Amino acid sequence: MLKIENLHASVDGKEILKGIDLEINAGEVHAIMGPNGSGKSTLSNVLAGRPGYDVTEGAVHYNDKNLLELSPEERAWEGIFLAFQYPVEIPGVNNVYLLKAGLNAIRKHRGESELDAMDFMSIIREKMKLVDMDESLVRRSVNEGFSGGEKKRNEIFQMAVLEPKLAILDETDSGLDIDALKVVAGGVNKLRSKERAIVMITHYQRLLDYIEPDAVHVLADGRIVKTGDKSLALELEKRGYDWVLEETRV
Amino acid sequence: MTQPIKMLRDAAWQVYEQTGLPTTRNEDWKYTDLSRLTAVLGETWWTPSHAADLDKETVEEQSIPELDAYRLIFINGRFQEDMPNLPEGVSVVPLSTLLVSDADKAAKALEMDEKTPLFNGAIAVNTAMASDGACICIADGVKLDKPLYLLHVATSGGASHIRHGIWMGRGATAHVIEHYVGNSTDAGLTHNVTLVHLDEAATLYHDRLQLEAEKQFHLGRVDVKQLRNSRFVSHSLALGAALSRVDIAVSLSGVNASCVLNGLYLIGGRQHADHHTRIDHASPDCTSQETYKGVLSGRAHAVFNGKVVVHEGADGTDAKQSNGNLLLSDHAEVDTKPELEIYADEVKCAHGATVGQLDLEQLFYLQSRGLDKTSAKNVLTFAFADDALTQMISAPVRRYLERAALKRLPQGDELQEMV
Amino acid sequence: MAKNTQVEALVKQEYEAGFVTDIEADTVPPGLNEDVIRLISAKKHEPEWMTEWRLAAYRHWLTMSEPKWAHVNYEPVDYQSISYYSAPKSNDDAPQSLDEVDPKLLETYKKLGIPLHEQAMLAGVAVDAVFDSVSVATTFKKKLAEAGVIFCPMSEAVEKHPDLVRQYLGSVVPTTDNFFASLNSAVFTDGSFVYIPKGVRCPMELSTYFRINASNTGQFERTLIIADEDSYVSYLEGCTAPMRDENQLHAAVVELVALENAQIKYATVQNWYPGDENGVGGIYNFVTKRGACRGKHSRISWTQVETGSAITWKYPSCILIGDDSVGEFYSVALTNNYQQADTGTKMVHIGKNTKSTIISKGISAGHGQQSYRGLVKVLKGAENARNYSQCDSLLLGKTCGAHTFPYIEVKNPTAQIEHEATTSKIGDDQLFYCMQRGISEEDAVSMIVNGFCKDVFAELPMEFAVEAGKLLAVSLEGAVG
Repeated sequence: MLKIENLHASVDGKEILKGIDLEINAGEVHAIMGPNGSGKSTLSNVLAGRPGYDVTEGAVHYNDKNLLELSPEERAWEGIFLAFQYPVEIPGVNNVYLLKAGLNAIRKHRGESELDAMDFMSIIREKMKLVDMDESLVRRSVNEGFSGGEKKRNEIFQMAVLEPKLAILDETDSGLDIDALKVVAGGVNKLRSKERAIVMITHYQRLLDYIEPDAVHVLADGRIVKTGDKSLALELEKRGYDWVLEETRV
Repeated sequence: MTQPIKMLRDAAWQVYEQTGLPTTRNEDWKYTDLSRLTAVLGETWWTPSHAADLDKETVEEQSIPELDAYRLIFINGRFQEDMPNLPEGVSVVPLSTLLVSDADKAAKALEMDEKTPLFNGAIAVNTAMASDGACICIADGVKLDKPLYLLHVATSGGASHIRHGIWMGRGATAHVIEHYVGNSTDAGLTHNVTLVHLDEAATLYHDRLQLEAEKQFHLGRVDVKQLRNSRFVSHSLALGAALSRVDIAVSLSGVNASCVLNGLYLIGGRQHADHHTRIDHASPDCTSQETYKGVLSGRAHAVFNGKVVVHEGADGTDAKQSNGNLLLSDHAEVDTKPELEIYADEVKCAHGATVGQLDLEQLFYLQSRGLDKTSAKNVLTFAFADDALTQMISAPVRRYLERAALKRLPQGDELQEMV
Repeated sequence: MAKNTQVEALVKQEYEAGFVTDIEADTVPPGLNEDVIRLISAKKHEPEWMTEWRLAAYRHWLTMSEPKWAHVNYEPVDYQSISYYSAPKSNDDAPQSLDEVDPKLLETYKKLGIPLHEQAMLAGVAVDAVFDSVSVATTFKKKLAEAGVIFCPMSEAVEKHPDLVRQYLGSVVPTTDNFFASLNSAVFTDGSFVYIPKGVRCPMELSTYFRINASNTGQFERTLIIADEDSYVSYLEGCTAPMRDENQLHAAVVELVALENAQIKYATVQNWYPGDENGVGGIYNFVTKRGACRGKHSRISWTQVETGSAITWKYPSCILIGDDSVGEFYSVALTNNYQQADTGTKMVHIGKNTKSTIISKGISAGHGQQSYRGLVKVLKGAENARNYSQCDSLLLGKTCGAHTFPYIEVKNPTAQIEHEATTSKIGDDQLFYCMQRGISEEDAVSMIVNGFCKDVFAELPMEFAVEAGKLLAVSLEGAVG
């Protein structure tokens, strides 16, 4: 589904990603871990097409398309979803309205009919249960006045509604207490499917206690320096990142 | 008088003859009627006051207590020969001396730009008539260890036309206090213009404390040019005078310059206090922050006008402004107008103005802790006013002002321990 | 904005077609003097007092000069080159069916979701000959008559209800009020008159739109609405589509009077021709609108969506005389290309416990210049007056301007006045967020702008709010990217 080849990217002229190679297939859950400043968030932003992130080398293939050629919304239409590390507040723009407009644009792109208000609301209600989302939050302006946990929960709720093919969760666990983490992880688990790939970007291992990954990658200084299975994450938890860095420093 | 100075003076006087004093038909003077000035002082309101001596005791009485500073004393607008020993890199020359010894420098101190915002005929009179003042030069990189304290005492009627100039070199830092007081029982006029020039990365803390005697008129103006990375922190207070008007115009004309304009007017009786500020964001990435507070009792009338202009290309501007007013009596009046004029889009600008009463929840909280309602109100009123002083850097100055403020508040004596 | 050029082309075409042929007899030559005013008055069969009223206004106007304080720039208007009276357009001049109307204009109507027969009316098609609107209007009039509501052209009111007109006309906006109001008083040709009797809740939203001759009331429109004790009326002015209009200068006057316990809601959606993308042409919209809350517990709300006109100069105001009366002002103003708007409100608190709310949302794009100018005045006797003002500006682009000039004058210590203003632009992160969710940039901007205006749209009748939203999107076309 997603094939990243020798991806180099820079922000403000400073190279952050220095040659990433990664392949992810439908149905897989990958965790990308790494110390602060290793380039984790840059990777997720490059995949989602955030302006200001310049790809200087390499390629990203996504279902036989050149992902880097697509605009952010086209990527969304193609089924890419980014759960933001810092969900932004948009006063005056209603959550439900945003999702309806987004979902219908995606459906239209897929050649499906647009949903009317009734059908859409029944989807909303169904998905609200998935992440234990409060109706009052759903009806409010996007993230406005939400607590940190509410914002993160709202991100997963949006993911549930938009049903992406490739979901990138950027530090979705940060700032969550253990109960909120369980709810969010539960939501993500319910959204796992054979057709869907999930990339979790995280600093800590604890999210992986609740969402079991098929592969774990360690990102350091803009490169993937080690790949393993769930046990790698546990080892990182015990020993920190330093040993990986030393081991890979040739 | 030397020839160039005479020409400058004559030209300025002509400007005054043509424009006269501003009237309430002038938008910037809509709420302040200077006919009150001419009614009391007459058409020749500008007639200079007489020189006077002041005994040491009175000077100490009028000074800010516990303030360790380089003090310059002006009696009725005239510098008293008592120049403190200044550190190296700091030069203070009285304008009266410069007028005789260095016409070029004196002309620079008397500069007047008719195109400057808020220009009016009174400024022209100041240029035509200013006879003294402090011309302060701080050399590059010099950080003044103590404040420069300019104490102005009016002892009789007549007008004092004072012109100060402050030139700060690159990276220089100083704190200048202009303090206006008086013990005259006659009506007179204090008329001051201060020119400030801040070179790159210079920092000036400027306190302008107006606590004139009750019949005095007071016209003041501070004109500030700021170059890149410079910082200007101003506190302007109006507690005295029958009628006062202070204009502060700041031009942020270098990248990353910043200014803080804070002020407090606390007046009663038939006092009238008008503050006009104008901040021109003429360069990118400049910051301005303004907080003015007003507390009015009796038949006092206060005017606040804060204008922020963000010029084309001044991207990265961050301008915040707020003006809060409390009316304590049925006959007090306030006119406030916070203005924004914006011609750039990468800006963060916000302003707010309030006229109102104390926060009822806070009031209840204090009452529930045992304060009677009146005391609780006074505590909150003081706290409201004091908010304008929190960024002052000199503790003795702040203490002096807080005591003066409390004296003017109902039951203020009981609250002295708050200071 | 190609469609506007098209509108202009259409307008010009009609103008030429209309005036060259048979108008001479019914058009007064350009220029203004007492004879012209007498002639206007005579043509409208007005009584003597009305003629004198106009003449007094005219004589005062002669002593006045055009106001210069607004933050707008324009070529001076030559008041002697305007023709102050022409008979209502004959239907022969208008397009006979929608087929004759410019397709670009129709496309805009379609975008706004305007029904077919309304499109025809807006495009100036001789509606009553083609569609069944007369019967609509008739049913409508019958229903109002049953309720005792008077809703008629101003000229008809002068004839049929002279006592009401004489009592209230000019009582809120005196003939000497300002330059444009005086001019209007001297030369107004028509407008709407509304009277809601005691205790009556007007059974429907009143709209100039329903009055067949409404789109031709001309450049000096005069509207007077009186809500008697315990009555209620909601009035909609204008329409949500580009108006067919060839007048350069519009100087309308609107007066509202609310007596005890009465409520008037007045909504305007103004989308006159704004000039082309180079700032050529467009309407000068210099309007005086004022309401007097005369009775206790009376309430006047102004809601406006201003997206048209080259220049807008307009301050719908409330004089809160009655105790416990309420004044409200909700405004969305959008300036694009070279449009200029200087708009806001005055809230004058005179009675006790009077309340006012001001919500102003300004959007500036292109070379648009926009000013909020407002006055909140609390007089000595206005115990417990309350005002809350919020003025937000949104800037789209580097060449536009947004300005705020709020005057606050308070003479009573029990007043509580709050004014807040912010200026912002659409955040890149907000745009990206929407785009990441699959929404195109233009739609995202329009969505965020609509969100920005939400508080004001909430005050509009439902169907108006929807169209106002669409109108913003159409007006913003070309402002993004």
